[in-house]
Amino acid sequence: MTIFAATALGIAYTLAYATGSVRVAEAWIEEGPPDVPVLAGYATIQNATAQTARVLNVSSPRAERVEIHRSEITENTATMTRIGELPIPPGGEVRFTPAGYHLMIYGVAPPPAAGEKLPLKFEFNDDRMVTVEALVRSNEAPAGVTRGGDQVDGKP
Amino acid sequence: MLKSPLSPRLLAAALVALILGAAAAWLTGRIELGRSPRGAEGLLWPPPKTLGGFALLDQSGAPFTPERLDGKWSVLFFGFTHCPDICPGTLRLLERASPGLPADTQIVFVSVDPERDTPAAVAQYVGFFDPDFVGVTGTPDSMAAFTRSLGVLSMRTETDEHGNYSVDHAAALFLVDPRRRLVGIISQPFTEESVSRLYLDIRRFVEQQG
Ligand SMILES: [Cu+2]
Repeated sequence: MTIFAATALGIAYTLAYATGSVRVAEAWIEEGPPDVPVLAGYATIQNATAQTARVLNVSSPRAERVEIHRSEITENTATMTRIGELPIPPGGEVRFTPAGYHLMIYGVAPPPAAGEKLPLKFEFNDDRMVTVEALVRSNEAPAGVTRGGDQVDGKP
Repeated sequence: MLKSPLSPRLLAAALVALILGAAAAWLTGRIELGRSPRGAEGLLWPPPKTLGGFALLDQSGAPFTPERLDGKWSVLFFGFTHCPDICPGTLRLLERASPGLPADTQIVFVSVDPERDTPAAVAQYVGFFDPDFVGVTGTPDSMAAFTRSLGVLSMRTETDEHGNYSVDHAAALFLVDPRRRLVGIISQPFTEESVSRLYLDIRRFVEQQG
């Protein structure tokens, strides 16, 4: 009886962990110059599941397309590379930051003004989808004062 | 003359080491920090290069030729308008630093993507961050010659299926004195504070040399 209860609890725990959530937090988009062809977006993607979560695609109804990029400054050289799919380790997170991982948001017309929100949809390898409202703001805003969307996946 | 506790020979040796260091950095395509006897980090002394012979365009479409460097200090940095991430970061940093810099300082954004960056595109991009900044572009050939003369390498990535590409480029700041001489390189990573400090240190050193 005790063993059975412990096992049941163990299974329940495992299930809860396996179906734990994938979150997209603190999504924001840097306000760009007028008519700029591409905007940069940032977010933190947290994976509380026991498997690697892979971001396969990001999109927005307001944008022609969205890509994941990574900027790097090494040896005084700035580079920017497109990332096909982004793995988020089990129990880990990937934080997008200026001069690091960022979203390239192409073709938003008319260009969004500071204070507006743009929906961003993140699609993961296990059919999870997370949609967040990303706040458009200047990068000058002190951290923590203005925050973007914060959304947990809707999958059971 | 520079008043120094160092003997002339020691000073000469230090300068030779500095020149060799700068030359080596040049050859390997890497930019190392120059160090003056007074510790002005990023100083290139004696100046390895006097800028000249370029014919570029500013953001209003007016010629940007060597005379535009005369009689003032210039902080050059490289970027392109299809860069929404690193380049705006540098522009903002310089915008924050610029009120603290001497008034005879011009901040110059140099496009490493002249194919896409028309003067109008540069005007809109640079103007958004600080209308006082100078934005420079030109024909691909004239820009390639200019960046090459500074030892700045830039490389286009492959064009993707949407016709887009990125440009890998130098992320350091290049300091040019009122006699068009390249006198310093401010290396990454830098901050608003370190840019101001290094620029003023280098400037002080160069002005002391007369
Ligand atoms: Cu990018």
